[in-house]
Amino acid sequence: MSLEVELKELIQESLQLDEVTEWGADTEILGAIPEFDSMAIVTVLTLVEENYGIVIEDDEVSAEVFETLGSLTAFLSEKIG
Amino acid sequence: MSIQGHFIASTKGRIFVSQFGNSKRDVAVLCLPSIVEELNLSRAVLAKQCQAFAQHGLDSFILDYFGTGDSEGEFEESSFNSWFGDVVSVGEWLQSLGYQKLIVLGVRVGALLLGVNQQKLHAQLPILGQIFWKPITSGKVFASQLIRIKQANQMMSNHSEKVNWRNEILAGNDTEIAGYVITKNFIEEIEAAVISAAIEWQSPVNWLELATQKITPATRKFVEASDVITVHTVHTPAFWQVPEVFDLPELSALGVTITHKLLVEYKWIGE
Repeated sequence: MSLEVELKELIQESLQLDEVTEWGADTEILGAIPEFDSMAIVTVLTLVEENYGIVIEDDEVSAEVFETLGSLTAFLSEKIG
Repeated sequence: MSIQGHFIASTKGRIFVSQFGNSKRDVAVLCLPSIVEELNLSRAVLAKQCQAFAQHGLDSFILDYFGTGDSEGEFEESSFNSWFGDVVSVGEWLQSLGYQKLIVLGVRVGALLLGVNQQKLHAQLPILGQIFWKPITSGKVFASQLIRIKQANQMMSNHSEKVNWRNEILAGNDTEIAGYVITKNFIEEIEAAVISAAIEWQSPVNWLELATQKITPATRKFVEASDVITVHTVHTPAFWQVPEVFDLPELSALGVTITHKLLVEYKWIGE
C-alpha cells in the first residue's frame, strides 16, 4: 500500500472524516479542512511516529508541511525512508 | 451491574476510584488510565472494558491519579513519581476489602507507570498479571507529543517568532497546554521515565498493540527480549487521541479472554 493511501486511512480514522478517500495530492489541508486543527496535527504526527517507529522534531514541522496531502506525504516519505 | 465511586486516602490527598461489579471474588482488576487529554478521550472505552469484566464476575476498579480526573488536587500539584503511591494506596485498599490478587491494566502512561515501577509494584502488591493498552515506553516521547500541541497551535496562528516551549517550561515558566498547567517538575519526571527492552518483568504481560495492523518495530524489541510478553494486535481507532469513540467490543472481549486465561493458569478458577 502506498504511503499516501496509508496516510489517508490514518487521517480518516483520526478525524472521522468520510471524504478523505476522495482526496488527492493537491487537496489542501491546513486552513481548508476545518477539522484539521492543532490537535489533528498532533494526532497525525503522533500516530505516524508510533506506527512507523520514527521521531519527528518540532522544528522540522511547519505550516508548509501541512499545505496539501502531497506535501505531507513527501515530508513523511523522507522521514520514514 | 453495580457501579460505585469511592474517595481513597493517598499520599497527597484523596483520590477517586470507580468500581465496576461487586462480586467480591478473590481477584480484582485495577486500571491505571493515561493522563491529560488521553485520559478524557479513553475514559468511555476503559469503562466499557470494566463493565465487560464485571459481567464476567471480575470486579474492576479505575483510579484517577492525584491532580487528575475526579481526584483531589490540581494537575500542576501532581507528580509522575507520586502517582505510583496512588496505585499502592488503592491496591492496599483493595486488599483490605478482601481481594487477594490483582490484575493491573495500564493504558498508555498508566503502562509506563507500571513498567518503571515493576520491582516495587510486585514487592508491594499481589499482582497476578499485567495488561497494557498501547503502552508508552518512553516518557520523553509522551512529553514531546504534549508540547507539540502548543507548537502546533502556534504554527496555526502564524506567529513569526518560534518559541521552544520545552525550554520555556524547563526554565521554570509554567505553561498551559490544552487546559493543563505543565511544570518543570512534571517534564523532568516524565522525561526520566523510560522502560528498557531489557526490563525483567515480574509477572505475565499482555501487550496490546492498538491502532495498527502490525506489531511495530519498537514493540518487537520488547517482545523478543522477554518470554513473558504476549502481544495482541487489535486494529482499533486511536481512541485515546480521537474523539467520538466510546465502545470497542472487540477490545473489551479480548480483555475478558486474557483475564480468564490468567485466572485459569493460576488455578483461581476452573476451565
